[in-house]
Amino acid sequence: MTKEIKKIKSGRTFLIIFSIIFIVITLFIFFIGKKLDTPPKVSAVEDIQVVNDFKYFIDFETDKYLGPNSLLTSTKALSGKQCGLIDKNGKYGPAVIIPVPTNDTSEISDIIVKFWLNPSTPGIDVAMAFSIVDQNNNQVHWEGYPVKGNSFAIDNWYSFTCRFKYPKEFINTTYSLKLYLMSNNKDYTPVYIDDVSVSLKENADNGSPRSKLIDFEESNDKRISSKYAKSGYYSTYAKGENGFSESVIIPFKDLDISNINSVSLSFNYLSETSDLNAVFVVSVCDSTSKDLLWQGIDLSKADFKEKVWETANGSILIPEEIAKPENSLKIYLWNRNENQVFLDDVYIVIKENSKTNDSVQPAFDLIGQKKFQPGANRPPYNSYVVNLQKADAESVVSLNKIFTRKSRILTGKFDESTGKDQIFYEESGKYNILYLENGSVVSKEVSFHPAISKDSRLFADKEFLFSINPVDGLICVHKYQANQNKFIETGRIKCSGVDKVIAVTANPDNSFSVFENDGNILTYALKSGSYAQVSGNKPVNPYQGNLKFLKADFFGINKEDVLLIYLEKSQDKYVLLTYNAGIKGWALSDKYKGNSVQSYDQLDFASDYSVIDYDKTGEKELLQLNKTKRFDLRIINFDIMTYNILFNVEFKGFPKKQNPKYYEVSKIICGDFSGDGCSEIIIFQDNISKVDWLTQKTEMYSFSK
Amino acid sequence: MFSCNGEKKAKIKTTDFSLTELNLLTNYPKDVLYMDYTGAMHGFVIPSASQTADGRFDFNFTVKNESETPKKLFYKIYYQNESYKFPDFDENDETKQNQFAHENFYGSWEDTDTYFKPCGEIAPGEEKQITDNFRIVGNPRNEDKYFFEGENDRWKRNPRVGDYSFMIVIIDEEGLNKVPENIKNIKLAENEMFASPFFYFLHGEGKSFDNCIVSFTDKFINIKASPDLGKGVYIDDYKFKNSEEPGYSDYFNCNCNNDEKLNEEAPVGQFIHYIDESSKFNNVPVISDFFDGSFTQEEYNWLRAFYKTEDRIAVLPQVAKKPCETIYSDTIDRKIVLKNPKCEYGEWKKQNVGMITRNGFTYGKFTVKAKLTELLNEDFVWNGITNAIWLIYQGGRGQNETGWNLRRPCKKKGYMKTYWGGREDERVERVAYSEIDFEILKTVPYCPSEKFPPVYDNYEARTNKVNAWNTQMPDDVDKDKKNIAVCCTNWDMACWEPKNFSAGCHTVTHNGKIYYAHRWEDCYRAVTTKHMAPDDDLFGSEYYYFQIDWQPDKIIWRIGPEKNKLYEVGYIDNTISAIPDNQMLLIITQEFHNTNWWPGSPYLQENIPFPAKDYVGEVYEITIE
Repeated sequence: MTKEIKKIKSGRTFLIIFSIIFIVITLFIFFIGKKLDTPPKVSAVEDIQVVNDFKYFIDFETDKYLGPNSLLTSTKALSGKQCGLIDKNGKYGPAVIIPVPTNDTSEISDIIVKFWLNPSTPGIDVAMAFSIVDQNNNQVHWEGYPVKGNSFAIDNWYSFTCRFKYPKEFINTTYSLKLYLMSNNKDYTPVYIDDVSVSLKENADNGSPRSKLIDFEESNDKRISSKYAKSGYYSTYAKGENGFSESVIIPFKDLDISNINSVSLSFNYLSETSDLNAVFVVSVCDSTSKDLLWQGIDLSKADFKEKVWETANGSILIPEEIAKPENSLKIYLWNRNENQVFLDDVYIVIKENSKTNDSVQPAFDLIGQKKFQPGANRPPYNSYVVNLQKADAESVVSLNKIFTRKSRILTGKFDESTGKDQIFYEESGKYNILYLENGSVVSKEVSFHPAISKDSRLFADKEFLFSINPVDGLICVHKYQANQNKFIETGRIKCSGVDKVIAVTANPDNSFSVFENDGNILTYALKSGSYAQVSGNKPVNPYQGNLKFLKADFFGINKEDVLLIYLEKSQDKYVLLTYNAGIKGWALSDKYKGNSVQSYDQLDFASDYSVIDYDKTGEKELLQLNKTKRFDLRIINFDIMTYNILFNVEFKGFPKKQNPKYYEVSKIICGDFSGDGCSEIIIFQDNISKVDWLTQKTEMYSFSK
Repeated sequence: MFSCNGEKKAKIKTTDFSLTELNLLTNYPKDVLYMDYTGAMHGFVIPSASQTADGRFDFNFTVKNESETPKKLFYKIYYQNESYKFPDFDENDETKQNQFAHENFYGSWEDTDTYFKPCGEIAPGEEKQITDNFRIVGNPRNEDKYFFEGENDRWKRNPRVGDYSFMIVIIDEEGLNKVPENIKNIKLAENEMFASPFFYFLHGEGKSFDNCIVSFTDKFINIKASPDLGKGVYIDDYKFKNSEEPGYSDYFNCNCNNDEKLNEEAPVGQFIHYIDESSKFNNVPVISDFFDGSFTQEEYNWLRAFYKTEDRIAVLPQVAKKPCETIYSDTIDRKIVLKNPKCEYGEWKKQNVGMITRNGFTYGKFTVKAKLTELLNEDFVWNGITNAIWLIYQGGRGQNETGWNLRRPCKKKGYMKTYWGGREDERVERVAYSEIDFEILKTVPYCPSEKFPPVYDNYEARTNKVNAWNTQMPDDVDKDKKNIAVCCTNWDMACWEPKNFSAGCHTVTHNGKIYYAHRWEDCYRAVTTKHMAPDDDLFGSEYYYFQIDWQPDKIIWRIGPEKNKLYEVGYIDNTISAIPDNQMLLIITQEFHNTNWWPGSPYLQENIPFPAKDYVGEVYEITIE
């Protein structure tokens, strides 16, 4: 028994020992095997990727890949802030030195070098030199690519691409390849170099992260033509009135916008006829293609030859808040007449904030860009001079009166027979109409029949005057009867919420629309002898009633549109509405597509607006008075895409030093008071604090030349 | 006995022979001669072929053999400019040549290989008359440094204006052998140090020769220069970067162009400024008719306050792109007209304009009669223009020939190497750069230092508070509101050699008047004195005179309503500043400066609108004497 037990015990012990040994050996083999079976490190994969790339981009912003004593300058740059330079200080420009990255002769074929040059004279006589140097800096191979010509435009960037054969015997990591510009010009006139791309492979497409060339060669758009091409075989075109070329959208994520200040553009256009009227549009849009910033480069005033490719330039400042990777840059050509205009070879270059950390850039840099290209709704603006209309002392007193009372001042053609605008105002409970007669201001008292409440709020449109009684909520429609010197009531509209009314319009179909400050528009038409609401809509949603209303024939089509300028979520917005008799309501104007797109200078809610006709065309303009930054009085018109700030208004003829723009308080009324078809400005000027040399006054200035 | 103009000096008789008669200028009866600009691009010759029949000054002299044996005599003539020279001898030791006497303008016959000419053998008791001639030319020592590709560019060392002396040396054979080679041949020099024959014969060894007559006439002629301003304006294409662009020659006309005729004849060229990046400013985007009464002090203040950087236009002062557009030579009134062109929206420019003479001079009284554009308008606001009348060193042929027109070595610290370099610029023993300026603009005196800088009130861009943006000028500035600053500057390239060289304000007295000379710092390249004068006088009258009197040891600036009513407004001498000694050209410009160069100025260039009308200046007369 004991032996049996012992045998059994020793068998168990053996089994346990055997099992332990087995497990230990298995684990040992497992770990050894695991150790021996470690997969390649990720870094090795990276190495292979880097080696396979063999593309280098030298933007001269840092000294990476640059040889010692490389001459750099920040006086100009294709992209970024600085570039290389060759000048009188030496025959050679900055050297690009790249160690040969591989020993594998199958990895490197030809060297393809793309670079940009900017000459300071019409002549360039340089060579791009390619050399190979050994570890002791001995040159073992040399080849040159000459760039020579006498008709370059000074201070323009030109792109060159050259190919060098790379001798197989030097494909060894002990060598470095060296690229440098050398001057053959004895005068060593400065030549600037930037954005050098070097590829050791075929099919080099190693563009700069700060520049793009769009040549429309790979486009699938329908608006591509081979009739003309600045380079390659194709260009895009915009044909017919309001025709658009292919839109090219470049996501910001494809560009280096880390320190972006602006985008500089160079593009080539060709007009088949002499009546060029096109706009090169650059906009920044969000991921839903909604324009956040819009700018047009107007070519209608360009100096060009028919059927010849011309180059134009422009730039667009990119505010920090829209320089986001999710946004995109969009470019296209917008044609505005029956002509056909071609577009090709658009260069886009990211310009960065200056090295001096001077983040504020001037409105226009005539040093960087030799030729001025006005930006849409960006200063500097041209000026338009309005001249003081001389007035007798009595007229001056009369004009002053209308502003020194607190009543609402309305303009309209109340007495249609005169063909002039008149001013309606209240003074001490009495109503007056003021108008110009033989150059003098005449004021006459008028009355309402039936009389209106003293608390009535008044609005005007065309020959109509509307009074709103806040108590009974009635809107009364009045027309002036000159022979009776009275405003006769011609209708009544029962309306709820009259305290929100900001305007009443007389529509072409004899209906009336009431505009409320919350964005509601209610239209009333005569039904069975009384006015009843026939439609209502709310095209805008202003914040806390911040809505401004203007009505005029902004497009010169004998039809008045309504411009609403409002605040929505703290953003300035605007919309143009047109009256649709079919639905008896107001809808977005079909003459205007750029809803609420704001440019650098905005149609802001804070400004005061008036309607004018400064050039007697019948097409009305907007006069914007903004005193946020300074006294800015600007003439603005609209086209189908945007508003256009045409001029800054300057005053002329004022007495002594009393320029209206100096005053602390300014009030403006506009209208065609003289009846010549051209608007006048009546401007009241006063100060909050006493300024001896600026006395209170009201003057009339005319847009008439 | 002698018919020459000046006082005769030195000895005219030896024991063996005597000079019994000397007649100078026998073919030119006047004592003043204006340089003839015909062919002057190759160097002035005095007289020219049209000024005397043979294009030379004729003279004769009679020499008598007082001995009892035949004599072989020899003679040599020398002339020297006496108005603009250093003394021939050292002020402390008359037996030593003045250290700068070799710079004096003297010469002899043009061919420096003509040493002493023989008078021939003269019998005992015989009188012999010798007739000869000479003319005054540039590079009279035929110095190699003025040669270019084998050609003697005599224009590189033109004759100086002023009085000329004449010295004739008659010597016998024995004496001649004692005369050193470098006196016989004035071309010879050691390390560019020439031996002055005037020192040698009048004060040095030559003075004590026994058988040697030295006759010195201290003034035989006075030379002046006055270019005919109606003779045209020559255009040097290389000064224009765009000379190969279409339209470049749009404004060429018969009296302003780049042809060979004007290259030979025109005494004036169009001056093109060097514009560097430091001239950049952000200008208000406004175009104004500055003189129609609308541009007031208040308007300036308004623009200053309310136009921020983002509303402005970054510009550099511009230069003419199309030659002859902004300058013309009036052939009837014999004047040069300059105009800073007006500009239009989209073509904003503040364009510098100017003329430059084409014949260089060393030293002289440069007097300009001109009506340059007014600087202040009715409200005494400055239009941003600096009217400048200045001298600058002359360059060589084309753009690249240098080295022939260097200033004398600066022995203490050296000169700053470049005009444009910063304070860390390399210092070198010699430079070519020299400049002497009248710069007349609206700025403030820097000296005495307690007056600088003026304290201007802060302003704010507040549309609802006029007094916030319309601040008043400080009293110190306001009292000079009708005045402009006549700034007189010598560019000494910060050479520390003058014994009173210093930075800051340094007083210097001349003719009982104290001038405050100001230099920003030890390495600053120029020193300036200022004088405040009414704009109405200088540029509101029909014309005004401006004179830079550049002498070897001093510079005096004068202005006045008439040439005989000039008064001193600036003075700098070699005790405080190295006076240039190289050849310079006269420039007259109307230019837009960056007012950062003129700290404390009451009006800043960037707040002054672009011109709506041309600013016209007229130059009626230039004389150098």
